[in-house]
Amino acid sequence: MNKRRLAITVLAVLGILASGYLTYSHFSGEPVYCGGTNSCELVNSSRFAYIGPVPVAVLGLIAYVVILILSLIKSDEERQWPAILTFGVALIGVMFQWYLFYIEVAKLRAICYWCVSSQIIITLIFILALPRRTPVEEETE
Amino acid sequence: MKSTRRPVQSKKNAGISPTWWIVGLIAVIVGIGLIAVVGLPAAGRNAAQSSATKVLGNADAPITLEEYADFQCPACGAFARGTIKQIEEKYVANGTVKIVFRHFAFIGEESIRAAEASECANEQGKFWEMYDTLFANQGGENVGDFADDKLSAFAQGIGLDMAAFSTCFSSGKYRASIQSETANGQLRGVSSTPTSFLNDKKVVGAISMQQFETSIGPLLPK
Repeated sequence: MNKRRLAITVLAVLGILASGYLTYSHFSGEPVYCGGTNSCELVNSSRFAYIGPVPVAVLGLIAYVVILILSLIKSDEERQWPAILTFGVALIGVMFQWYLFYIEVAKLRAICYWCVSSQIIITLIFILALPRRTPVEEETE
Repeated sequence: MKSTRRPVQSKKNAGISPTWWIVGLIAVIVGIGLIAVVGLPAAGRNAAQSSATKVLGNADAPITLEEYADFQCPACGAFARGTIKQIEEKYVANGTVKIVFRHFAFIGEESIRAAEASECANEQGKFWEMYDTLFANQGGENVGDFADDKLSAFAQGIGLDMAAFSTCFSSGKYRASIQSETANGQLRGVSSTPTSFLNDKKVVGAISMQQFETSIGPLLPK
């Protein structure tokens, strides 16, 4: 497993913890721990926290699980699809997460640490998943 | 025969394969789609999430006082026992003002439980009785004055059907709507309690009867 893929795996696990906690909090009704403020609760229960009946925390959880699974599959020149899909999921995630960050700052004026953690994690994954040229050495005459 | 070793780019890696671009494009479209869905005006969704309105007074009253409050907040208690009571007697009774209560449950778990108890009372048409009882029995914040057994005792005190109340109170079914009312209050610029809206004009704090009358002066029908 190369370092880049390993880093994505670790980040995906962290992402699962953050979004998993928000999801758990949503379904159990336990208030979100937020260091003594109610900002997390506000963000996580605002009207922007849902797509229809689905909390966005659940979407985050699904995305991280998919990235985790993809990161466990070896990608090479012959098999590029895991890397390409990771890039696709991370790109959707990064756009959506930063939009949500904009909502937190501009509309709700409340910062949810759990959400910001997730925003940083997905950004790092996205950078690691960016496509790159890989020059290889070949034996020729 | 001389063999040379030189770096070349294999054909496969000569550039970023078109698949990356296609996936990237699809991802951008899906991302924009998600943003559009979340950002859309959520009027329908809000209505579905918010609990039954808690209104006191004539539905056609020309002046609406919307009150954002937390049952644990001392200033809200003072406001409810003072100015709100006087408004009730003078302006709600004659149909000039109606009072709409909105949860702004931010002090802690006991604020949410008290709000849930009030919603369960509302199911039985006794929201305002619970409102009065809660504000009359405030103690410290999150120190057990609105513990579940106390709240159930208040429910019994105002004569609720206790079987229905207990089912409702333990279900947590109003928790999301209470939190969403609080979040929507924040969206409307509420940052402390009590905050009221007089026909949508924001008034912060436990205002006196005199301040209230000055504020509604221009709104009164001639």
